[in-house]
Amino acid sequence: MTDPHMDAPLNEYADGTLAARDRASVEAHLAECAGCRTAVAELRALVAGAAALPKTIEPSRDLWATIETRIRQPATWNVQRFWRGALAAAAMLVLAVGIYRLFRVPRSDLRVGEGQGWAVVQADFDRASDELSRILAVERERLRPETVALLERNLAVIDTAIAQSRAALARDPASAELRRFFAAAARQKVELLRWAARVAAS
Amino acid sequence: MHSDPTDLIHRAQQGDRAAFEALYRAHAGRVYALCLRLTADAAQAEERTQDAFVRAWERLATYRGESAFSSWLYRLTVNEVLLGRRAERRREQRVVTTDDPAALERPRGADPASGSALDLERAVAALPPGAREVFVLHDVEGYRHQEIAALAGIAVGTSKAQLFRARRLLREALNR
Amino acid sequence: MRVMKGCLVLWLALLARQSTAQAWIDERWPLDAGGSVRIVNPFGRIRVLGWDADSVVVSARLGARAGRFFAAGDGHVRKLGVDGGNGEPAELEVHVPRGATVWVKSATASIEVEGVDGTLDLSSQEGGIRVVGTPQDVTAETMDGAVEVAGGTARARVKTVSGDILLRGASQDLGASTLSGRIVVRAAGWQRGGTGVQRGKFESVTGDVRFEGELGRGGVVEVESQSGTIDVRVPASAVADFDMLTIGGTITNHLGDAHPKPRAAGTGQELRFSTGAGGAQVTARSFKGSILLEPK
Repeated sequence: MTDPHMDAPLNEYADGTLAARDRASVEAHLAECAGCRTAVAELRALVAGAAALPKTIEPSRDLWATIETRIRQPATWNVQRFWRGALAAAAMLVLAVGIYRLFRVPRSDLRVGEGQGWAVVQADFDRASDELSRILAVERERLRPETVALLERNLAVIDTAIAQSRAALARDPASAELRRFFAAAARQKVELLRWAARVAAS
Repeated sequence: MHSDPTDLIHRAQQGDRAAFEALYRAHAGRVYALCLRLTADAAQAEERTQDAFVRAWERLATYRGESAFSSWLYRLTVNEVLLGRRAERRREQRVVTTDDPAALERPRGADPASGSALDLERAVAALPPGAREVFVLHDVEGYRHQEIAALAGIAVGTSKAQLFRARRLLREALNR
Repeated sequence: MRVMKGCLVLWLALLARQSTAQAWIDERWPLDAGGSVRIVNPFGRIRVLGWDADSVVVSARLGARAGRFFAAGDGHVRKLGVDGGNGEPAELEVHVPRGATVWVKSATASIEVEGVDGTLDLSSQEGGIRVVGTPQDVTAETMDGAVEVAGGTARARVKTVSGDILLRGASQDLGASTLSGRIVVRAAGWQRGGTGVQRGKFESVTGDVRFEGELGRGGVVEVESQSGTIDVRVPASAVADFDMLTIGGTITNHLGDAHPKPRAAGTGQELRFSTGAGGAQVTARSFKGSILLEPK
């Protein structure tokens, strides 16, 4: 077995990822070193063997029943509205950043105070969410595409939660508990948009 | 039932559990193989497979078709397995059943004459966890070091070192 | 033997070649024991290690196209990091005085901090964050990476969007918020040098939340989730008031005999009971998820 210090160059040579200028010296060495030649051959055989392993293995029992139990939940949101909302939010993401920087929506506007009329609170949230979304839409190119993709995905998740909260609240508008859940989800969304705005601005 | 995958995904995203079951049937073997090789424990692999599909269902709405559905699903699976280990979510002590040949014996779809493939599977299962994960992700699944580093929360240099170590240990085991 | 020696010579030659393809940075500056360090590295890895010297030392390895290393500052504030680079990773290892205030920012680089007792402010977009030790105050924020804080801190605030959060050790004031990640809290009590959690607030939208640990006397723990499962595990001997509510899920109680009742104000379940006077307060609220209460 070759010396462990040789692992890096031999492995990289076997994989074909060795820098071109080093390849010549390794090949010159291999011409003289049977141990290293064997190592390279073994590595290549090993990698080929690994790539040839069966891609699928069936579990010893059917796992679907448990999965289905875990995912079974009543669908309480309107599917079409969800998609429309999600796409709109994605488009507005870019705009949200700019306005945030101009107007700096203060945190306290969104706290659910005891004395505030609930309708006012919801309206405040809608306004802040729209403003931030518009800003983000403008500043889209400042964000890395992966970040934009992640943001859009997570906005979809939070919008679902908000929609569910709103639906429940619509059926039981006076419930303090339901208001709390809606407020928490709304706050999460605004935090997310604000965070995106900060990232784009930096 | 329509077998067009895009249609299935779309329907599953709308909450159609039968469509999601079809997706499960189509991908379960692949997901399980990945979990089994990463965890080297049949019972854990079953749990991680279930976790992966449950998570996929939860996040299905966020799949926008930027990559192939299978790539998205397998990446999610790797995340479930690696994060599960990192976050120490084991509920009970698991005995690592690397001595249990049942899980790796006669994987369906394998060439029955490949005794050496079985030796390789066993040798991989016997690797220390960090080396095993990198070897499975790189040499079996084809991920690049950059991706492995991001998924496993390690440096790229560490990923390479673990791969070389895994290959060395495997060569030693198979040469015995 | 001659063959082996030949191999080593080859290896050394290759190693020397490889070094020139990257930039190696090694720098040292004096810094006050309580000084501040600001570190920026968008891609790759950042490790910060506390030590007992009044200086900042950085060892960095930058790939060929990784961007430019920069540094500026004086004996009170030191700024350093990597500028630009199109996704090419750089590995930074920075030693800082143990009591320093450390501010770190990355895009996808992972952030690790060990052995720093000062204040930490760590933020990333997609990188994971890991803190080990006893920092006075930790704020950690990342969108997609996972966060782990282990050891003990007076105050920790952790925020992710989809990354999982793991908090373990002896901390007094904990806050964790996530959208779709999972939260796991393992709080140590007085047996392991902590006083138990005095204040804990853990919230998620879709991620599961598990709180496991000791409650400080008079401690207040609040757990809230929209659709995640909430799992609370405290010692069977814990003295506390429990207040659990779920609108769409179920409550399961294995900590004593109290049974959940249908929620007074509509659908769902609620459970309120007390295991003694003058103890801690544990509140759990879930919109659609289930709540589980168990002995540790």
